[in-house]
Amino acid sequence: MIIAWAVSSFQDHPKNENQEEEPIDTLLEAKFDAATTRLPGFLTKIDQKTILKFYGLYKQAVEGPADSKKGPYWFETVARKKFNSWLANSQMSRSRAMEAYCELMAQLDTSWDPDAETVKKSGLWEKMPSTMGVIEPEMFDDAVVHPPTKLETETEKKWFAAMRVSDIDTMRTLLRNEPEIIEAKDQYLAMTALLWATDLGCDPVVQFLIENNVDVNAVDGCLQTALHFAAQCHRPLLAELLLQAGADRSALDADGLTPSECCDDEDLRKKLTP
Amino acid sequence: MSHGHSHDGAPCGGHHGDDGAGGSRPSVNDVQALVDQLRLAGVDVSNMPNIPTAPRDMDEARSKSFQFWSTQPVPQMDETVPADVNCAIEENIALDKVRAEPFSLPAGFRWSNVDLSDEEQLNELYNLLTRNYVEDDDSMFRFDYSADFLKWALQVPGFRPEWHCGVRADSNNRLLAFIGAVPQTVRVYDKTVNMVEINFLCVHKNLRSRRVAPVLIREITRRVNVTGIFQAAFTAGIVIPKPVSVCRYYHRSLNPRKLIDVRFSHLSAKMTMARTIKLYKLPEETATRNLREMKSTDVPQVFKLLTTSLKQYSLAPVYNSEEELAHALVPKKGVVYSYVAENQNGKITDFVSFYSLPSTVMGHTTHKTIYAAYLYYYVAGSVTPKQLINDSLILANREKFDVFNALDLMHNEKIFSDLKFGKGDGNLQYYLYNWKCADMKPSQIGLVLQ
Repeated sequence: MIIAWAVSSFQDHPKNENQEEEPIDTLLEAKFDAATTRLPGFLTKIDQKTILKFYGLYKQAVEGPADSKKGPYWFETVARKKFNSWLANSQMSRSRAMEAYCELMAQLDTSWDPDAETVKKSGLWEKMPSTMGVIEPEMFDDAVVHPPTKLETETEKKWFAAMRVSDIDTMRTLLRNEPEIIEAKDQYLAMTALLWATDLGCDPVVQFLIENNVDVNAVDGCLQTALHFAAQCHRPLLAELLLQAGADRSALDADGLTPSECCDDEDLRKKLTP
Repeated sequence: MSHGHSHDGAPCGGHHGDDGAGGSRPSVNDVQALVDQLRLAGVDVSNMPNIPTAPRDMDEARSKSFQFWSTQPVPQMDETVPADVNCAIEENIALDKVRAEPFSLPAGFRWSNVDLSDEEQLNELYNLLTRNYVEDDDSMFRFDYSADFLKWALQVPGFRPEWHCGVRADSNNRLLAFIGAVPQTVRVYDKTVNMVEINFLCVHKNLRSRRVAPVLIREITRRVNVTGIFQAAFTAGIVIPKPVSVCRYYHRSLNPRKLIDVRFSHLSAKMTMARTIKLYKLPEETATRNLREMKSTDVPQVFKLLTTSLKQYSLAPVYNSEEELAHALVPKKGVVYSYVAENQNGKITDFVSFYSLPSTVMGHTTHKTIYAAYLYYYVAGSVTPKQLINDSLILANREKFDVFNALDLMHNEKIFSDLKFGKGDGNLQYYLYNWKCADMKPSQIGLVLQ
């Protein structure tokens, strides 16, 4: 033991200046984390040599190389054994030690598949902002929920889904096969793709629909035109696009309001005034 | 043991405990570690006198990855604390018995207090907390604590520099980890306890695989203990043994278009943006008469008003002086906003406050930041809480906040649906360290931690 200690203390270890090293691969770390939580269940079933192996790899993986000058005295037998098993891995990179730990655990626990582990969300301690879910009409007391007026066909479903993600290629294919789909209304609010795309701000879709001669003055159940939606959602670029395509500034919705009267943005309202 | 490598990180007992160098005096953990070492060396410890053996179910708990927390004075995960129990878990330690030397860090790192009065160090902390994310992290939002916010939250009256506890790399002096504590008297049911609030625990991604968080917790605990304080309150998104209450965030859109653009919220297929904007539109003017910004001269009245109001909750802060309250509530632009309603006789009848904590939007081309207001303390005296909170929505909207957030604590839950708050996706757990008491419903919580 004392010889081992003497030899190890003369070995020229690289200094512990590895804090600027590459961060450990997050997937490897997730596997290593999973492996470490598995060990306690096996402690009573494995021999001391294997436990020491795990110990040495763990210390190397988490702390990096041991400082041979700071080891326990040779007469602290147990401590010295553990320290030596750490020291034995000094030449290993921290990543390599994690891999070795995982391999050892996989041999021990055959029911464990390291490759099934996935990276968990970081920020275990760091607080993460909570986010809001889906905004449903049911969230509002004054909301009127209409049952579907008619069900969308499979093609219409694809059409509206593609519109929501501005997937022009799919829309083009669908339109080629079924030209009348351009004025199709959705099953919930009876709105055309142009009305939805203006409302949601899918600018490329509006552009695409105009190029394909969509009716720019089509209305929804409340007689609102795409220009009404652009006005309420403050979308000056889309309003411009629609006006160029012949959208009607004086169209009246069910409440008798023009697009400009629906708009509370000063600049846009001026642009929309008939 | 005296060299500090004897038991830390051993795959036995504490398994990967990080208590670093054992102190000069054997602690409970040291004895436990000794037992573990003997067992490791093949000695049958079950027959030895005066040496505790770890119960099997403790190993069981550790294998459920609460290895660290099973060594801490916190209630067990499955423990149900009866209503008549409300006390410390471990007795106070005599001050001369509290470990005097810091816990050891991995080689190449050292402890370093972060002086927030120093612009450069404040900026380092800001960068650690806000720029420190893992690239492949799928979360889209990160808290963006401003420098002024950090000073407000950490430099409270009576703060201690050593409780702004940092870890630096020896080689380049970079700040790589932080944990903060601030003094706060807290009432738990009928007992008033001097505590600290623990916050801003953060470990740089390069240091994450090194198990530094437990060392930070042990070290801040030690630094707090040496001043004669043995309890702490903190909140976290994760579940560890054992929450005193589980609260939930609710969000009220002020700028729905932006929130939907950055995917903070989503529209269902039955909902248009136009309608959403209309539903969330707020009046220009507040409804409560004479509601105005709080001034320093209002502090004595607000102190009385809030102190009385907080008595109704089972967990609430106790402000020991007007100075403490003034620090927390006198408005600071970009940090904390407070308003009072004053009647004809100059008496303050109502009070409401919120603080500003923006979030960074990850990888969005047009929007970099969501400006979020968080409901803080309030007392509705002459009007309903619903009207007062609605007024604070109007005021927050006027200050150009995008969203107004509130936890379901105090009486908040009752007003959420009327004021169009939507349920958030994350819980916030409330924890007490070294304290055992019956679980609380969110409505019993009157303590708001940043």
